[in-house]
Amino acid sequence: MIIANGKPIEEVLKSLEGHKKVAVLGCRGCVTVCLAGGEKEVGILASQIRMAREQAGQPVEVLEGTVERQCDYEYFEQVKDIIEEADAIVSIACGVGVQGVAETFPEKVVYPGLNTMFMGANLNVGVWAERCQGCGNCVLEISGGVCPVARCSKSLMNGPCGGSQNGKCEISKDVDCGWQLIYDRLSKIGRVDSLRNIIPPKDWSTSRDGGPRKLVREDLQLESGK
Amino acid sequence: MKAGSNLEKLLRAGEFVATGEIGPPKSCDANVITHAGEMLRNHADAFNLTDNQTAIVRMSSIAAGKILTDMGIDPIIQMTCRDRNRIGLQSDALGAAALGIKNVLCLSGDHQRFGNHPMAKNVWDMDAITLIQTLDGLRKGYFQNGEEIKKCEPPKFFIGCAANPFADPFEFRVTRLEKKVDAGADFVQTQCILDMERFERWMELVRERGLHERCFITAGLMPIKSAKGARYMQKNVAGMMVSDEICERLEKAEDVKAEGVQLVVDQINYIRKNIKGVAGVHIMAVAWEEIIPTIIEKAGLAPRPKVS
Amino acid sequence: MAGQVARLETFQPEIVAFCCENSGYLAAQMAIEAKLSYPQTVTLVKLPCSGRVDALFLLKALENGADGVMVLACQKENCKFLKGNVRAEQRIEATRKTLQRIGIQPERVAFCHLAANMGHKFVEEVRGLYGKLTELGPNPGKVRK
Ligand code: SF4
Ligand code: SF4
Repeated sequence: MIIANGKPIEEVLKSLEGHKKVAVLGCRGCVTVCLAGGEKEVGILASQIRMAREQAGQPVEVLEGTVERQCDYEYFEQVKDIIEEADAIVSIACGVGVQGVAETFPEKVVYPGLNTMFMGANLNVGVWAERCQGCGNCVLEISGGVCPVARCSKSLMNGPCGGSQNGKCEISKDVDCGWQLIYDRLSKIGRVDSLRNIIPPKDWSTSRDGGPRKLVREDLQLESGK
Repeated sequence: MKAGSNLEKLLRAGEFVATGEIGPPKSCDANVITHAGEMLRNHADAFNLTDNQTAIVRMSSIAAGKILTDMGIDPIIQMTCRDRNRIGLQSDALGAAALGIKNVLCLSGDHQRFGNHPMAKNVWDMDAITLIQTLDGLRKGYFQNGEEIKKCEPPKFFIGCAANPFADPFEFRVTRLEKKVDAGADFVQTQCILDMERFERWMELVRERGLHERCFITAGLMPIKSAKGARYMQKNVAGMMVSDEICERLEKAEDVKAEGVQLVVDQINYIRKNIKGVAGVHIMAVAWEEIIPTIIEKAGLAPRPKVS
Repeated sequence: MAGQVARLETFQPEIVAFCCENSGYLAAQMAIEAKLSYPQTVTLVKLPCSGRVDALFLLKALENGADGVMVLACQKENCKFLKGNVRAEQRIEATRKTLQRIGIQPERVAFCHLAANMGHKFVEEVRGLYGKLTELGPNPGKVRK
């Protein structure tokens, strides 16, 4: 899932300076699950904004709304009223949702309320970690199910590098060396010998490096679709 | 002969080589390089020029290498994959060859987190192994994409790489060197040896796989100035191992600097006498370059042999 | 000065007390039965466990007119749901931090551990917060007044 975290409230308040009526818009997708942008967080952020502005002597009206998914634009229909009423929107969906608001309501000012961080897993209550970078050309089959792109600090294809020690990466004793994990996994499944082969430079053209990406599935497209 | 650098000629002639290291300045002051060059000339066979080592911005290793080349000194330019993609790396390698630089040492590079621009975007389009492969391709006349280099002789490189016997997983460290040799590496400089026992175990595995016959292995050594520094490296520097024996020797010494020099001299003697398959030493006297002549002298490696 | 005294005299802090039904709420009932006096401006909210409390509740109470909020939880190691009171305390800490960042005094949020038979402690805690809030003055962030 996409993991996001609330922006510092000061930053949100700064963007809202001068606005009189604001809508805080949540999303019931990933950001609800990672407790950053669901209905509850909408309530919390809205209260914070109202109280901060009240005590600063610049009261603001804050409307609250949460949709199923901000990355499926049809859901914005449900909150059209409050969006139209507000003079600025704070979306606390991931960056996709914020842009969804901007695209759907081209004349509205929209601000991000979260920092969208990574695609990751929930390891423990309150702990998430990155697992995939969406490189568009998955190599997990050769790396024993541990991603070298996301989990090696240098995205090396032929690790571990000389900085790997005691299972940790050279960048920090708190970061596991991704390649040590790959090594351990491949050992467990009896394929450690495969590390003897040189893995050629990765084709990054399927990644962000190839420019903004788009997926079109003809099998699914509707004639009426965009 | 791959490129015919001083280093390559000596290694192929079977000489026990000694290389040093010069850190380019954090400025455009060419005098730093010429000064170090004058001071160290004839005291070692070739000199590494680090490539923004530890991710701190410094004069380009290629530019510094050119300054040494003009002085008639053999440079080994380091190239890391942190700051350039395959386009930049190949372009710079061609440029280096055009400037008469022959030795290139390929590295993955330190992460920028501990450098002086930790907010930078990094690259790592390739890694040390695929960079070696790419340079090997260039000297065979091909770009990384398979395209042929036309209307010109291919560049000549004597390709080096690093090996770290002190990183983990230990068993993989020799495999990693083997991959580098397969990729086309001609010579190797090891991470500085501050734990001789581990180095010996690693060399044993290297010899088992015959890698010492497929490439020239030079042992990395570092004169240490302070006992505290040794303990610090022991505990805090990723990828380094410092034996208690070395720490204690420095701690007990009255003149720590002299002991640091003696330690390296003893290591050189030990390696030459006891460890088969080592073709030379690489002395990394970081911020203490002026000590290199003394070490070479004391270890009985002076004067350095000449080849034509 | 005289005006300020007058204001302090007329200001009666509104408090919302979130009470665990296994401790805080019972303690409050006990105080009432024993006719112990405590400020009349306290609204009790019964929760199945202090762990049910959330930043959202505390913020909404403050936004909607409270000058201070409190959470009354079971004694340490004595939560019927094992860790409810620990979680409540974590959330209160987090709420205090967010209040501080928007310029509202974190002391407006109180937390205490008590047992069902501690009517006097309930009164003590409420009076303590009431006194503190009287000093702090009205909650500057309340939107509904
Ligand atoms: S290889 Fe690419 S697609 Fe597969 S997990 Fe890693 S980043 Fe994601
Ligand atoms: S130590 Fe491991 S994770 Fe860190 S950069 Fe090196 S190979 Fe990658």
